[in-house]
Amino acid sequence: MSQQNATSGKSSVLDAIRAGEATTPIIHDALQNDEQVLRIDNFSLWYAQNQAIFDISMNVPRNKVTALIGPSGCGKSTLLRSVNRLNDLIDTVRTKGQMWINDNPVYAPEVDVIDLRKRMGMVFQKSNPFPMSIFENVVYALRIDGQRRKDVLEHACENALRGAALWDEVKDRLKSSALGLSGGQQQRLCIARAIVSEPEMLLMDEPCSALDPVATIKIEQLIAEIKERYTVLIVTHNMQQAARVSDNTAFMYLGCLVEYGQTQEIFQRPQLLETEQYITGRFG
Amino acid sequence: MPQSPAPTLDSRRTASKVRAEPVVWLMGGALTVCVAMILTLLTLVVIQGFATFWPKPIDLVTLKTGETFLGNPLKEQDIEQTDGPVDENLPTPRQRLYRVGNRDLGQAPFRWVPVDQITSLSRPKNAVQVQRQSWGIFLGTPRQITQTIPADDPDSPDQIKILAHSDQDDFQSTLQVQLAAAQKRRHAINQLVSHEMGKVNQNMERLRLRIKEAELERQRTINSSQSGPWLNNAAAILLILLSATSFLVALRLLRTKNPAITPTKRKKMPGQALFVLSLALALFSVLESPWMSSSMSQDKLDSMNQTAAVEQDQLEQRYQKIQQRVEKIQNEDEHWRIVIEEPTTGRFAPQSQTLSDQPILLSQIVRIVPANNLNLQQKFAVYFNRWSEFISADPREANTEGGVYPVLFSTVLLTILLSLVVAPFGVIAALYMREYAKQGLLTSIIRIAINNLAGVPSIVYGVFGLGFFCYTLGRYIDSGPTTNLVQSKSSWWVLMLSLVMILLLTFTFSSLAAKKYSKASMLKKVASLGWLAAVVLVIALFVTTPYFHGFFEASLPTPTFGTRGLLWSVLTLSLLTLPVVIVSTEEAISAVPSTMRQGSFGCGASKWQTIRRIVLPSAAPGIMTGMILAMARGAGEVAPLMLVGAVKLAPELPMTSQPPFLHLDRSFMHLGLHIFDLGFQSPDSQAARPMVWTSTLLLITVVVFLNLLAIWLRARLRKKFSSNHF
Ligand SMILES: Nc1ncnc2c1ncn2[C@@H]1O[C@H](COP(=O)(O)OP(=O)(O)OP(=O)(O)O)[C@@H](O)[C@H]1O
Ligand SMILES: [Mg+2]
Repeated sequence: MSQQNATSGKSSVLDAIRAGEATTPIIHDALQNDEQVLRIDNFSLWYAQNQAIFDISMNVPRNKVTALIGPSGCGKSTLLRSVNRLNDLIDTVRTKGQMWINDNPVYAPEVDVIDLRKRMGMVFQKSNPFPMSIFENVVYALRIDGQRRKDVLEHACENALRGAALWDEVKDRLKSSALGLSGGQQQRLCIARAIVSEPEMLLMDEPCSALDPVATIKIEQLIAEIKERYTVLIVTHNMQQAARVSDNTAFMYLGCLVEYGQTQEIFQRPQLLETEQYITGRFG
Repeated sequence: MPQSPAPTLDSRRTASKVRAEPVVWLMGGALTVCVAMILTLLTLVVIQGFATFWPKPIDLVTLKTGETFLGNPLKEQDIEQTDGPVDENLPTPRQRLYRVGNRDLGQAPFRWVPVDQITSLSRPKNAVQVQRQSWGIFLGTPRQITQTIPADDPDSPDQIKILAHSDQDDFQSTLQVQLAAAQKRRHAINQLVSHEMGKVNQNMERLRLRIKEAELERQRTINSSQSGPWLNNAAAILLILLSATSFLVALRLLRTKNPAITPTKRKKMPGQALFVLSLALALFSVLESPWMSSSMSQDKLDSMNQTAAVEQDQLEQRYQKIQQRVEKIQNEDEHWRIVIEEPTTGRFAPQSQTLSDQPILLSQIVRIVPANNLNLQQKFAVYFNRWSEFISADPREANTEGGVYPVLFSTVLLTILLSLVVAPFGVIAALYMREYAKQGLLTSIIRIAINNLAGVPSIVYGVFGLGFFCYTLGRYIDSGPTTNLVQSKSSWWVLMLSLVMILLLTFTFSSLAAKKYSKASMLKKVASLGWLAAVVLVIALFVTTPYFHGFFEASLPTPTFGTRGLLWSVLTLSLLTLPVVIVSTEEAISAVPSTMRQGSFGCGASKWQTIRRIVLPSAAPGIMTGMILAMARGAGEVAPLMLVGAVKLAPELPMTSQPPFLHLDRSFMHLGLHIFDLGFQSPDSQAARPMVWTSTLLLITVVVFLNLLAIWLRARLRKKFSSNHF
């Protein structure tokens, strides 16, 4: 992993990807030492005949925020959804390769997908509160687990809402419909819903793309807080946001991993010129 | 740069062709026509329906011939002149329709009279319209109320005492008092006959059935004593053992070693399913109870016969007693009569056509309306009285008079039962098609077929209901499988065993298929074929079982469920309305945003949990819309009902206070059929015509009411599950 391409001045890697050639991603050495939660191992994915992810290998370290960046349609959401096997819902999807969570396989016949998903919270690009009360929204994951005890549910609800910085705004209206909240509140509600069962990982797919700056900042602060306890994998289009919240950043292009390293490194001293061009907006 | 002049507004005007104004006008016109037609229909029904019970005046008409008669004027129209030249200058002659009633005196109850034949017209204050238990209305003037006092000496004639004469001032009050008393007597008789005697009759019937059952049982004991029961016992034990083994095997198979996931939860579902299945199998064999060889000894039968004879005697005595009481009241009742004269021939209203020399009994009279002598308030009193009778009383005189209570009740009951049956079926079918079935060619074909099913003429469903539900399913329930299909016991057990083997194999395959992550389509196919075979086998088992003799064998040859009845009507109508529910449910389900589903799955919900907690609640209003449509269609459907259960006159309601409360085997009356019957089938259809309108009004009201109920429910659901936030 040397700095071979940073000075070449041509987008040769991207050209190669576009041409369909196999490329080696640049993975910074600084990442090798971290303790990993998720290990992606030569993972490829097809939607029917179209390959959306090409042989990606990367590690996601524990208790850090890892950002996925890249131009639209490069497979960030697909990769994210592959982690908790949400892609299984699409009939046409085929996969190759493996992912490991705490050294346990994700793609194996004996895996209980439901249990797997329970161990990961997911926040979507568009907030999707369920048509029920705020309280029921937050404790949904516990309810489907069969938790009935009121005190447990209430306790968990308050914790999750506090964790999502929403408690003070909704504590008096827990019983009213979640659809009556503002867009930003709804997104924070979704975060609360995702963290209520204390997952090991939080998967966030552009959580702030539909929000105003104030709400965005709130959620960014939130991410900074919750990374103490959870590992966060976040997809974002906003470079500043990636720089602000993430510890590590992976740059993807057309289903391939291009460069992956510590955020400061990626943003200040990228090893690939293309990465720098993308980050500074001179590309894409 | 020289500025070109701005184009004037005129030159830029869009051509009206582009704006399609004529089309807009056309569409508006079409809408107006539609609305106008619907409004006309409704207005007609409402006006005609509400007018029926308004008391009409009674004219005393004298004709040129010197004949006089009483009649309710109904309408007037031109006499159509068919022959001879028409003189333009003369006013066209008109004729008037009178309802003259008095059918039992041998005259036509309606009469057209040319207006120029009438010499004088008056509305006598003392003329009354008498509504009676039978023979339609009677128009006349009341003369006196009489009471027969039987003479002590049987040879001498009875004395007739005049209680009140119409000249006397207290005539009206006496009449009211005596009418009320007479109605009480009539009510008492009805009560005794229908309730007390009905109960006794019912008990007698039950007794008879018990004996018959015992005799059949005895017959079977004699027939079956040749083959030892040990074979059956062994087979049953084997069956249960097999179920248990299959259960254990499945548990072994499904035990997942799951290193990736915390081993707190194991997949329990298939194991549980198998458990339920083996339980069902066990239950099935217990119910069929082959090891309990029927053991009805001759002694037991004889003792049963004896006790039954004693009970029979008691019941007969009770019957006699009740009959005596009825006769006593009837005798008493015959003493109270009223003389009402009509002016044409001076005859009075007779007790019956054959007893024309006897004045009518007071208890035969439902209501006496002195129509010419009523102020507005009294008219309203009569009006509402008749409405309440209409809603709450039984029909009289071949349904043309009296009330429609049983009809109304049965119609509403039918509709409610229908929605209770069709809702779960439709929703489950739609859920499976939309959520579980693979969206392929087969699913599309099924979907198209269901859509087209909505257009099948309803009488076709009626024929199907009669052929399949009544005559096939119903007969099976009544008398068990037809004898030429019944297998010998040993071959039946072979069938049973093969069923268990197939189930076992299927389970093995399907659990293997479930274990494999993605590609196990071969196994899946085998498993589903196995399921199909199992279903076929189960049906074959039921059809050929030698152990089931029907639930109502004793009452044969009178069929219980093997004939037209409420249950089959409900099922037929559900079949008819199922497509509506399925289609709208499918639409509602697919309208639930996929982001919501993904959110639920992302939280670790299973498919079923997502459906139950997210999809179904969000789709509930849409499902309700389908229900509303189905109910509206079901409530108004008559044609299939005529085949599978609705009758002109049902002796009893389908829901009573007698167990089993809901009598699904009974035939019932239905408003739609009632209307048809009134308008075209009754002997006196002209007299029944106003009732047609009123019944129609009622039917519309019922449908609207049921729909409003459903709409209200839907609105509540909507409020619960939606928001005003954007
Ligand atoms: N359900 C699907 N069926 C078929 N192809 C899909 C599906 N979802 C995504 N794709 C394809 O997979 C590729 C990657 O899509 P993905 O949604 O992962 O992109 P993305 O990086 O998240 O883009 P964006 O930043 O715009 O959200 C795209 O080419 C897309 O067309
Ligand atoms: Mg995306």
